[in-house]
Amino acid sequence: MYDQHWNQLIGLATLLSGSRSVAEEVVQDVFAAAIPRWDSIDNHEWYLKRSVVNRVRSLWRRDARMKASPLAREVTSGEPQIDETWRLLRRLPARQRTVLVLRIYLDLPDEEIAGLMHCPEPTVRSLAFRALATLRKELS
Amino acid sequence: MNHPVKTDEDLVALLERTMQHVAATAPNTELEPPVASRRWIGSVAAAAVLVVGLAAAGLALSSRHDAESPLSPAADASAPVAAGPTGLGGLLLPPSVTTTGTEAMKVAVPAGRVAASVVSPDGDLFVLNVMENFWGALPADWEQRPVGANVVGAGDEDGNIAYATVNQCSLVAINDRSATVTDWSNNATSVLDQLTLDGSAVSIALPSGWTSLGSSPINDYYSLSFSSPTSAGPAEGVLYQMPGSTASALLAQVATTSPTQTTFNGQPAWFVTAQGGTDRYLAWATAGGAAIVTIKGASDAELQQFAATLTTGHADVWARLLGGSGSSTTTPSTIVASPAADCGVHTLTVATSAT
Repeated sequence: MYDQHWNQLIGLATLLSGSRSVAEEVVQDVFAAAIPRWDSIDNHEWYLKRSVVNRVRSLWRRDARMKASPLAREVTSGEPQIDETWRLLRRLPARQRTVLVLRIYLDLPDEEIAGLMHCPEPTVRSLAFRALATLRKELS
Repeated sequence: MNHPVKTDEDLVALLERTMQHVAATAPNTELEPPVASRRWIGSVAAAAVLVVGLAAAGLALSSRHDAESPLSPAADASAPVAAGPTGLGGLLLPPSVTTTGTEAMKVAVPAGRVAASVVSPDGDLFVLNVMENFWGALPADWEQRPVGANVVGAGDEDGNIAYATVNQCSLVAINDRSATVTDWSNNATSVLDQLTLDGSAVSIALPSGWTSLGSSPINDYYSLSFSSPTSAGPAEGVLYQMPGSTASALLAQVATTSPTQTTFNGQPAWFVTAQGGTDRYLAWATAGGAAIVTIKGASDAELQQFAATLTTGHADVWARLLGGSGSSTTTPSTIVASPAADCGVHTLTVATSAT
């Protein structure tokens, strides 16, 4: 189960946090917290994704208090359009960025995203609408 | 090589390529050492379980009447909702509903859930949920403190702080909807201190200066995403409606904060602000239940003007919206509770102090 979910969760946490090392820390913490109650968890994949989203959000809150950001460094891909897109993604409000990552990177339906983010499905659509509108304007 | 972004498909494709690249190659960035303990990090998984419980528990609950308060007349909390059109015909509809982009959804809520909303003297919103205790005990990795007569645990819910306490029959969750990032705030502690659990009977005697928006069962609710013409051009809006319930219960389903009382159509109403945002919402009692509307960038006055244009009697339109493409019914998954046999019916009483 660890191997099965590791890469996908690392990718998710990296996109949400902007850091591979932070992502590894987050995913390790998620598994450490889940293992003692593993048998009582009905849907492991859903639980792990939700835990990653929540843990990264907690880091945002913690860093807000510290006035520091885990998204401090740039990604340089050698492809300017990707670098620019990532820069714009990082500037989105956290919840908007989270919706896009869950929609596009994990290819989740809005209903499942609403469950992961504990918000109504229309809120997911609203967040995605706003995020895409912002990016479309900047990239057009 | 740059790919032109001319369509939504172009944009999504670019985002997908960017995300795949970043996920594979993002640099290592060390976080600063935390000044606080890692308690929050260790508690979030347990909080996630609470969130699932709050969203999904279909447990036997009932509510009792609130005491009257200056902010919320008893009628909002407990009086039968005025009779009006029933079924889909009782749902409000804006005049511009046929515009492109309209989406409707029914959210099916398990029967028997109940919520109460209370406001601190400085205007912070706290939401209470009561359900059967399917946890047994609070998670060991939550920070737990004795507060009043209870042991209370603190966790994280969607970036905000949630508190919970349990006994044999009841799980009580209190969500701090304020913008604070500090757990165990004075407001939270003062209201938790007044919480009483006696089997299935849950009551809270609000401290002086606190007010109640009411408590009531949470019914199925409907949402409608629409585009509304404004002076600045078309703006996105959302209309939520909960037939047979109260604005307080509906407010508990929408991530808003900082309520201020007003009146609309001669009934108690509240303006609230989106959590983490600036958009304003108007929540009010309708003839058949409660409604909340928001329009991006709209002022309070514009929200009231828009709400005044809503009309009932459009069952056919609602049926078409709910049955058409892009609409759906969402039913939370069910957590099976194992309540004690003699727990009986849960009750939630919110009493305000005489001032």
